[in-house]
Amino acid sequence: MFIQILLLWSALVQNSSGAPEQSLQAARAYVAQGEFAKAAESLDQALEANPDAGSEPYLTLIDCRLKLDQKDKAIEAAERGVKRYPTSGPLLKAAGALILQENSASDRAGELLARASKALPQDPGAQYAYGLWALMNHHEEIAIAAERRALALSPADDLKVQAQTFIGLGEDALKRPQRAEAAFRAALAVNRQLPSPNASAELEFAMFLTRQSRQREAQELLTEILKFAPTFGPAHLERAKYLFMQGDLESALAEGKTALDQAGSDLKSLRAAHAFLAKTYFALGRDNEAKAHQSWIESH
Amino acid sequence: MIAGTAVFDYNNDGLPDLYFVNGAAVAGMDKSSPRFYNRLYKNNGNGTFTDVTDSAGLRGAGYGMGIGVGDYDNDGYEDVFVAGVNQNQLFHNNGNGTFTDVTAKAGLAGVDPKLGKTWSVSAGWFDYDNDGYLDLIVVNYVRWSPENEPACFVEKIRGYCSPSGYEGDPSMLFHNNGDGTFTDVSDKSGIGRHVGKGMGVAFADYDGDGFTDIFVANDTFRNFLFHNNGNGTFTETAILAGVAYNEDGKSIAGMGTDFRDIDNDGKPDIFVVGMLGDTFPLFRNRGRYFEDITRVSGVAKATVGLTAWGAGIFDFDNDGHKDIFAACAAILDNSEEIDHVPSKLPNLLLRNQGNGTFVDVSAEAGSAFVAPDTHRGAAFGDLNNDGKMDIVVTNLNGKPDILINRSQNANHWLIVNLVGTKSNRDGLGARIKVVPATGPAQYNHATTSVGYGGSSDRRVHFGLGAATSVEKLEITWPSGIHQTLMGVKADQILTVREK
Repeated sequence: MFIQILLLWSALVQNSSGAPEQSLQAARAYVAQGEFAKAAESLDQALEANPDAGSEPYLTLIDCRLKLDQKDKAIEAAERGVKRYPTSGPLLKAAGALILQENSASDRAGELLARASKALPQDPGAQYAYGLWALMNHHEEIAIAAERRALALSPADDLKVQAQTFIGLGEDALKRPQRAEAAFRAALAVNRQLPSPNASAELEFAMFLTRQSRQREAQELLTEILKFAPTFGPAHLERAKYLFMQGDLESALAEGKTALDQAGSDLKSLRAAHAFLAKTYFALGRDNEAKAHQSWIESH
Repeated sequence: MIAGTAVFDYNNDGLPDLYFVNGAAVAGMDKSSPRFYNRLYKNNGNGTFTDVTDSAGLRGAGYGMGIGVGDYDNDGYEDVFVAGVNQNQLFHNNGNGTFTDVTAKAGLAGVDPKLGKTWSVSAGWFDYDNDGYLDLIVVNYVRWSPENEPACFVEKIRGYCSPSGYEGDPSMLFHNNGDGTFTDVSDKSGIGRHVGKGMGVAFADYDGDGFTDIFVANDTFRNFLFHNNGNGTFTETAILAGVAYNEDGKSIAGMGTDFRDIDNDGKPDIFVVGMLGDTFPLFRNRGRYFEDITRVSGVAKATVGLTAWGAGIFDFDNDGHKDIFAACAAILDNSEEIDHVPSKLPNLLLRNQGNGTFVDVSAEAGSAFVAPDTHRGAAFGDLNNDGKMDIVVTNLNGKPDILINRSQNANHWLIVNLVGTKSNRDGLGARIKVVPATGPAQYNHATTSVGYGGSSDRRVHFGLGAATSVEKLEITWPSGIHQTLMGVKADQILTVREK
């Protein structure tokens, strides 16, 4: 299973109820000014001096580190916080989610998120994140149950879309296509109401339909996705694959190029697009261009 | 990881026999205990087998992994190559029920001048230069020695380390000199320039140029497709041909593979098995390149939650459309503890519906397809000569499964037993086209190299559906000789001598 959906970070951010301490006010001021490096430095100093300052400073520090694109340090801060506050749901959730983003196979992430889901039984984000970990680690029944718990807590619509999509993926992996389709359709219904629909989630439905050998419906969904997300590379690549199989190699090539253009710096997307272009150029007899894409793959 | 198995007729009595490779005590690769012997079982023709390992001299040495069977000296008796850890072995069939270890004379010990001792998993016989003698490819896995084995843990539980933690090795190609010796042509041929983590190997002439090509399934590394240039060299074209990765552009944990025409268009297609989440790629041959039809064919739907080792493309119900088999089990024998998934899985049978799609019929295929086990290698052949393809599957630390095909249908069949004269005697590489009286045409080719470390019955099987005869049977031998037979009756094992 290739899960294209990224962790919905917004669903995981939750304000702490802990009261701020005076010594942390400077850090807060830096945060308010967007001075995250200084804020992180202040928080590190404050937490070193007083590690029992509450869970909230750890969460703020995690947030600062993420804004500074220092994921390793964010995880380190989260683990420090969890060590000091092992029952803090928000810390468990943040730590688990961060580790999951770095390593989807991490058992540590699963352990933290399982604890978070118990510590925050009313938090849909905690249930959702645990479900995502379970899905990515092939514990589909656990994933489905966790996502159902998230849905029962009336989450925001964007989380509903993801949770239903994960249920669809889990049901599909368990070879229960009817249940899978019901979940994907529920996700689709909500997604169509969103001001910014989730292209990744809808693409998962399209790919499910392809796996069911329902090409026409899958193509209709791809068309819909590309209407609201014309620069969404993975949908272009899926369309390119379809055109390739139809024998329309020139159109497939054009879609493949668009997919590559939209891949940004994501290595997986780049590799997938280059691999597709290599074989398409080769199929067209344009070997030199094919080999250029082959070279890219071999050097990355 | 072990082990492969072979279905071949070692004593030419017309009944396929069975050979199983076995491991050894890891310390010193000691095989002295009978529990580690490789085993040869003679087919008694009545549904039973007799262990003839000792009289045949096929206990083997060291830690075995895979088997390749082929008559390398064209004497009419099948010889056996065993790929293993740090040591490979070639056994010459003496024609009297015994074998002689000729590894040293042949120069096939698996000690490469540059690589040193190799961990070989699979091997396959084929005649890459069409000179009438079978050559040998030995597929190597990773650089490993018991002395330097790292300890890998997940949450304090010891597991096998991921292949990503080891350096890969290239495969080795040996040219048959025709005098019982072989020359290492790995570098000269270009095969040795491609470092992978090979597990499975299969052969076919995918572009119809008369020279056999090679597909190597690599573990957590992109697959290799070695196009035979016809001049003793190969060009690795997997990325260009579209068979290097799965549909997501990702390397899979490739293991067993087969390379046969699955849609009766005369172009051999490729099937590869992998691990949980990979889905098992199915590549449809379009001549120069391949289409990934894993999703649209329904194979992705059926395989997304599976891990498999052995694999094969055969027509199990004789309806004229080749089906897919996969021997399934998790990678780790303690995956319950490490990955929280079962280590034992049931096997998979996908029925070809003849319209480009496959449907999972495992649940209706008998108890062996429902009961989970630690399945590993698989080999295929008609063990009781009833025209229905049977399956032999090894199980890790357990008894093998011998799956006799009891399909209840009135479909007809034809098995072609090739005898090469100008070509290699086994006829490996020969391409066969049959036109059943009820049409349409079907295609297959002679190869023993199937799946993961496996070697299958060299006879070529066709399911004919309702056809009681074959209007036309065409054989294109590796020598280039084209032979046509008209009006062949169905339901027979037909021996065809090259002329």
